[in-house]
Amino acid sequence: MRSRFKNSRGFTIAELSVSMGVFTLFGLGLGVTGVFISKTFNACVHSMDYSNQQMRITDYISLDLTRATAVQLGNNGTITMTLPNYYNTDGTPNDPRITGSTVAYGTADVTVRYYRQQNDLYRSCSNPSSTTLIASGISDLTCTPTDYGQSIEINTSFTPRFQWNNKANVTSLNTITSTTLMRNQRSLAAP
Amino acid sequence: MKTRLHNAQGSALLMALMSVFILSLVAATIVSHVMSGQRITYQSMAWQDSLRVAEGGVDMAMAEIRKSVSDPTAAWSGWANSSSSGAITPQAEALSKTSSVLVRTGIGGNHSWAVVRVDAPAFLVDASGDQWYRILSTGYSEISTRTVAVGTKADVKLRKIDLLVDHRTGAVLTSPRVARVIEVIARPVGMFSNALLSDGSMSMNNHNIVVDSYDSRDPNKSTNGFYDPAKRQQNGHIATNGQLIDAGSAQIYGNAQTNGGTVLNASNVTGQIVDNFFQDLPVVVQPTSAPEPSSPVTISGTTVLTASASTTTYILNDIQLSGQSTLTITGSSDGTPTYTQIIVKNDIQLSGQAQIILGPNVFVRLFLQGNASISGNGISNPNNPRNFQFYGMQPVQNVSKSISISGNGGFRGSLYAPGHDITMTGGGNSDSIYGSLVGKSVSMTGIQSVHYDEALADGGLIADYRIASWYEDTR
Repeated sequence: MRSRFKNSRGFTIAELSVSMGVFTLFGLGLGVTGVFISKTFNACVHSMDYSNQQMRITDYISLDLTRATAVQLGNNGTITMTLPNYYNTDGTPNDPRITGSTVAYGTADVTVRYYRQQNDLYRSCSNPSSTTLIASGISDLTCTPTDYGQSIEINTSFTPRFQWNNKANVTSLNTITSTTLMRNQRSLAAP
Repeated sequence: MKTRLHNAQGSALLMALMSVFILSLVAATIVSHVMSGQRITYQSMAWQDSLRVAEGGVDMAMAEIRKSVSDPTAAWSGWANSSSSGAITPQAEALSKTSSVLVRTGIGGNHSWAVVRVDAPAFLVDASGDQWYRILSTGYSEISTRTVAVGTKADVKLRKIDLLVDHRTGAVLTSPRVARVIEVIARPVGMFSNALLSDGSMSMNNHNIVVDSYDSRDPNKSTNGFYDPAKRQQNGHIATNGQLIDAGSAQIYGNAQTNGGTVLNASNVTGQIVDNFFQDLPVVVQPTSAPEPSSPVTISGTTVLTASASTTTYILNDIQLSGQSTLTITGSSDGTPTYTQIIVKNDIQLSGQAQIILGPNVFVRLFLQGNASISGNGISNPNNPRNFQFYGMQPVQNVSKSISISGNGGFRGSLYAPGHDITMTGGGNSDSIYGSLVGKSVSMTGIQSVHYDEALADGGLIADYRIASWYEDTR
């Protein structure tokens, strides 16, 4: 009993040094693990978010390209298309009308434009007049269209934030390449 | 000692629990994001898949429409038909085929299928009186995720996943699915979609030959409806169902197309060299119309035939004109359109300064069973090429028939004779062809020009149907 009291009165320098060292190592390990987990989590969220945005951008643009009659690619990845005026003012479809060897809907064609404004990508439509935010916060994402005549290729790329000692092989571009055939005969007139 | 040990265990347990909680929270968040990403991927896949089956439905409808030309008795077999006649006709009610089209099982046992509807509304009849068809194909694809909407507003607006109820019809669903609707307009394509087309060989041996195009309907591509070299277009395509075209260094303002073959001397072909061309060439059969009571049997001197608003028919044995003899086909004095069809059982021969003359706004269909030699002053057609259609009826097997155009025998019109060898020797002052020629073989050995009128593609006999318009209805 006596010896127990004697023992609880304090620790030797050696004991304190060892215990502090162990706790410091443990704390450092915990901190580093936390930072790694946090970085990995953020990289996962970033990657999934950008992958979803890639799919959405590709699907939106492909949908409009399939039904476009004219396309023009501009600077900064801007895409301007002419679409048939399929919808009436009340949202119901117009009847098709024969014009020569082609078909027209409504009185005037519709212009659809995809453009980037800072870190957001928008789709604007002339009729009915509307602007839709397609993708937001895409500072790390590039969208590059290429004109192949009747087909248009869309490349969307971003660099994932997964890293291991800043090695390039784990930070290479994640790219979706989508080539869309314009179903309608492409008009050479600019949209 | 006992108390100290108890406290130490509790502290470790608390730390362990907190660590497990934090790690679980991180893991749950990651799993949640991954699940969300997986659902978006599945929904995107189903969305893409539904477009593929919808386009498959369009392909099936196009195949049936094409059969109405190549094999009418087999067309629309198995299709539900709400019209009383049982055949798709102008102004008929819609044909429809449901649920059994393109059913297939994909990932996770999900089904994809198409519902196709074809109709022939009155507003899709063109100026030539030909019916265009409208195809509405809806592609459905089930999704192997729970009934949870995922993604941003833009995702939902784009893909319009039906979780419980079909947003178009209001039908209650047993599993989530996507539906995409395509509206396609199919237009008839006439026999004359090329400047020159042969079933077999095609040969041009003179570099001064010119083949180009214009469009008599478009003032930017013609002048007063007639060819203008200053408005030359580059759709003067030449084509063969065979393997060889000898372009002879002729000026071809268009494509040169073979059926897996080669184009020789193609230095002056401005368009593409295409090697996957084939066009079905249906045989021409004799019309069954009864002849006019006054129809002559043979024309061998100057003669006048009359066209009428309701199509008059003349059945002749021969047309043999020489010297300054003419065959004139007159129409109405007020210039309204009049029509006639002339059936020649044997041969047509024009020589000297003989000529066949069409009156203003007269439409002539000339059917030939035998051979033709068009020389002299040829055929005078003051109208556009659609007014004069020259058809060669199919010869009996192993019998060769020919149509030769020489001297000033050029004309403004279209010639469709897939069983006849066509030769153009040219050399006259006005030996150009303004229109289109289709023959068993085509040979141009003189200085002769063919100016293809693009308007011909939309008139005359129907050879095929092509997609004129494609639109996805995203409501």
